[in-house]
Amino acid sequence: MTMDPRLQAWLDGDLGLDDLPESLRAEASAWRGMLDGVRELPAPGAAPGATGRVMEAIRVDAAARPSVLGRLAEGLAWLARPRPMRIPPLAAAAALALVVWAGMRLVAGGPGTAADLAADGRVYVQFVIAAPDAGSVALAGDFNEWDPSIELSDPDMDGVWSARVALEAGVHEYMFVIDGSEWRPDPHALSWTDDGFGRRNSVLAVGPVDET
Amino acid sequence: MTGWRCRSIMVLAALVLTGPANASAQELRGFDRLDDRLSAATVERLEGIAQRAARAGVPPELLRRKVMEGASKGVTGTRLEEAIETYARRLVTARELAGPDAGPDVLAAVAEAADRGVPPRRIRAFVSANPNPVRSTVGLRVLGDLRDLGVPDAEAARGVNAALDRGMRGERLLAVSAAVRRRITAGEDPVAALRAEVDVRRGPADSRRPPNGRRPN
Repeated sequence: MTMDPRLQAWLDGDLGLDDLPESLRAEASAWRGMLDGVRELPAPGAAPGATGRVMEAIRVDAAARPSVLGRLAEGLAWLARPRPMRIPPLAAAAALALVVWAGMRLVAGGPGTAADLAADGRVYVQFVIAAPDAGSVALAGDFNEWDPSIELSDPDMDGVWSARVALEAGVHEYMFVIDGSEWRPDPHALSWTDDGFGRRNSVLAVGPVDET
Repeated sequence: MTGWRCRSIMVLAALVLTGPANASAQELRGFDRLDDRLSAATVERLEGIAQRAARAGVPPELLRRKVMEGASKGVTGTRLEEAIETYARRLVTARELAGPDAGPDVLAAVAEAADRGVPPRRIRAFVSANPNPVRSTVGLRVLGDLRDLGVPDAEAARGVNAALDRGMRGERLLAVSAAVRRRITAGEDPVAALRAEVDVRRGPADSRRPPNGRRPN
């Protein structure tokens, strides 16, 4: 069904009622009545009193909700309640091993240190020195009777040599030996000491499990 | 009793009876690796030094270790003997300071601290208050470092004890003197530097600086 274009023009305000033919005026009057009815409808929005009822409901809900401490206490109570759990023995063993490993790492120095715990209770220490021109670098210290037999490696050929050595707990003195003859202290050691022979030994401290 | 059991018991008995008596003599030997560097006469004189020191309570292993160090570094002959003689004297003095129960590592640390000028009464007090050998050796090193850095002895002892009280151990304790050194280099007063460092490093929030020169695994 299509609207007469003249009636559409009247609705759009382009024509006056007098401009319409007599045959369309009755229909136009019906449209006017319908539009007036729409205009008289209440404005959209909350029903009277609705805001107050909603706010009251919110207050009641907030009062009924437990506080943070209450929720924490509930959670703890849930954890403390005994309940049957089904864990495969393999998973339990793996979890236990993980906990023990993490604990050992923690007491051996924690993240960010150069130390790691060896199986025999000694502590692994990573020695590193930059010696770009060296053909070989070795490590000697009181832990190996100053025998420069611990060879450092530089696999990526960037001039940074390193070796991982398991040491007993305690204070150790050491030096690097460059190309088999040049004894060089660790420039980044935390401490040095006179070796009694005119050189300085580097000093490091390795803490045992109950000392770090 | 079977033959092998009889022989085992005889060997054990021989070890029990002769072990302690021969222990020091055996500790003095073992220079095989250095046979081509040390003459027989030098080895003999070094053994004489070690035996005299042993009678004063110095573990021969400390002197043997020093001989190995010197010889590995190319120090031989008279120069090596003089260095070992000096070290032996320091260890004898250290034994008097540390008492008869101090182990080799503590003894070496006491000798070094005394050599660096830490007053004997401070050393005695520190060793007495810290019977744990690792704690004691690291603490004595730091005391020596702080003295070298110009921190007064009383203040150094207070700082090291405070650091120990706050749970600093091992490299973390050794790092105190390194950090104080950096602060002094940057212009801080030695005492203020130590106080600031011990204060800064206390508490669980302290994150250990990885030891320079050694990478984290």
